[in-house]
Amino acid sequence: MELTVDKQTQATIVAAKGKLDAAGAPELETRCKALIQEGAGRLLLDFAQVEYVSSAGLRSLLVLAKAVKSVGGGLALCGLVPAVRDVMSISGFDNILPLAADRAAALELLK
Amino acid sequence: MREWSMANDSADLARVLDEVDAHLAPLPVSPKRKYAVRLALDELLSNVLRYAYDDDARHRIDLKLETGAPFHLTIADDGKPFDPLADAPPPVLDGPVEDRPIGGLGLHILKKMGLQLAYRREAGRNVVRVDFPEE
Repeated sequence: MELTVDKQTQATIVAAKGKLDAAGAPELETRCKALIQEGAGRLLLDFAQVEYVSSAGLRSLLVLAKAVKSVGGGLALCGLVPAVRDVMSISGFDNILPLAADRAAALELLK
Repeated sequence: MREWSMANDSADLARVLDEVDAHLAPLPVSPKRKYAVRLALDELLSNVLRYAYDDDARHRIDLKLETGAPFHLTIADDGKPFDPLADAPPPVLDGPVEDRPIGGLGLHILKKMGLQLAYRREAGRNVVRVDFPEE
């Protein structure tokens, strides 16, 4: 995955690009865990350029949701393409991860 | 009908997934179905790599994809008997985030997408056929 990190005052925004699968998931997970350790409790994942998510990807999102929760922070996703959004709702992940249309809406969710 | 063979390692899985994508790209197949094909192969083959073999030997896994009617794929491996429909643990989708066990999700998603899975043990191999929903 290609990951671009933008540290803002309200949240740390991670824009991901590529496939969140068995190969991509550990990359996202490792990077975000490091950010959380550095103090980024509120994470916003911009998935506008993520074309594919498998169960391996969902697992790492769950790991990250737990990690931010343990430091009293939050995690939100935005910009999901329709196919990825389908996987989120089929798996029930739309109930545990706040999904927003765009960054502004996601930042509201993280307040 | 198009066929591929792969070895039981994740690098070869990635190669085959990309080759199947490339094969489907010019065909009149909807984006939704293309996604479902990749996901089915990814989830089922990842399970084979993880659970089918107790040794460190190289094994061959065969795939077939029929893009005519009925659109379906078949995966055959020589691992120990494993029926993904009966032997995979059900996923836990309720409850607070911190209580959810991680895993058990792949097959659940495939079934919820309307894919029909059928398992048989044949000549010492696990054979899984996946039929895709009508569009």
